[in-house]
Amino acid sequence: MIDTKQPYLQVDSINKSFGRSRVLHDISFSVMQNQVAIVRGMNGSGKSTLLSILSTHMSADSGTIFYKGLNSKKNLQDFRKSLGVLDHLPMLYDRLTVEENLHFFAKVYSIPDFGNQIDYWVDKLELNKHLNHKIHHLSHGFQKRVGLARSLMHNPQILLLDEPETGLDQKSLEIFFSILGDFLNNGGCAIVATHNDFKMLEKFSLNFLIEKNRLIQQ
Amino acid sequence: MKSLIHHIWIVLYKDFLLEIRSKEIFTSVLIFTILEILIFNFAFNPSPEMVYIVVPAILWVSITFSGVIIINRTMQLEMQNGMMKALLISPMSREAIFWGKSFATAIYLIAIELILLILLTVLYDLNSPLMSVFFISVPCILGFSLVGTVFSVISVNSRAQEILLPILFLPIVIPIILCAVNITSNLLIDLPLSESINWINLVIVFDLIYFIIGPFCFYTITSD
Repeated sequence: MIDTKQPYLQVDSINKSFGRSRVLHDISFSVMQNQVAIVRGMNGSGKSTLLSILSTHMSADSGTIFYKGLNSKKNLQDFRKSLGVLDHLPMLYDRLTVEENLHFFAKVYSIPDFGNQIDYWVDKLELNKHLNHKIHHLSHGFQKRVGLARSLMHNPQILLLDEPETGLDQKSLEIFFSILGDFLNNGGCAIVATHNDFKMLEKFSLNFLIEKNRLIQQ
Repeated sequence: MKSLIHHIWIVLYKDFLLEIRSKEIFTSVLIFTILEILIFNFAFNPSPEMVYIVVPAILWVSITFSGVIIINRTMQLEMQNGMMKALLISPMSREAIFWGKSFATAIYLIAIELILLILLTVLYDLNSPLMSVFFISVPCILGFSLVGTVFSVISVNSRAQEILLPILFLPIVIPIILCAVNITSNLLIDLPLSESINWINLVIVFDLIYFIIGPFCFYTITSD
């Protein structure tokens, strides 16, 4: 049963500075199930930093992230299990094949019956022909597809996507939007840092802009 | 605990799979080490009485140089394509990543040491308990790998990574190398193990310290 009243992800007063340079100032927002928060902003505005903090890779100077009402720091392992992250970099081992990479991450996330999960995502992302190819032999677009399979394989509830559309051709974009639409329809929520308008997901969207280190809802 | 061991195994398995696929680390370091031993052999040409002094030094200098290359390279592989980030944001604990990487380095070095010992026996016509030398070296190599993994995370993020690692790491690991050379030397001249007990104890203490504080240092370095 989907509880639509409680925010799935709530960000409360996040601040982050690098030395004297303040990057994020008092960032607060919340995302419910079936919603995608689209964060726009100029280059260097702090979008990727915000996603890094949400992914737990970077820590905020102050502020709290709540996941289903629970403090994410106090439930770190559960929070990490609930995240799927697609970054600028594919986060895959260059010298391993697509299949070996997916097997590795399936084991890292302790996915039960991971063979079926891998088959499902390989079919869905049309990676069948490339299963035995090493990552460094794949084009950027296919690397991104494998990255998407990696980030969705463990059934995360929150997707963090940093400029996911970069380098994707029309066909890959269609697959990507269809998967993201299904993910949101099935109760997930996503935060996307992008320059794209994401019109295909308009009905799910909350639009934000980071300007002068602050987050503004549009 | 079960999950920790499982995750350490996953990291280890992945490192060996990467090596099987790329042949970047073990094969090249092994060739480098064999060349090193041959150069030492031509350079020293020790008399039979000097062999037992020279061989431990050659062995541990070679292991140290090989170790620096292995530690650097295994950590560089994690930095490609944002893999370290992927591991750090996964549910896998940082202890598992640290110990997995350290054990992988230690296993490479143990394999290299075994080959070196065979080579040194042939080159210098050694007639000593080599298996004892081999087994006693394992804790020394483990300590070496634990310290190396901590410093490789620091150096790999800098521009001068290849030179920074030995500068940071070698001064810290000198006690282990000192112990290892002395233990090896005592064993090669057929002294009983009890003669080396103080050195062995020192190695065990060093290993325990880095086994405990290593993950903590790794956690601190990889946070932000």
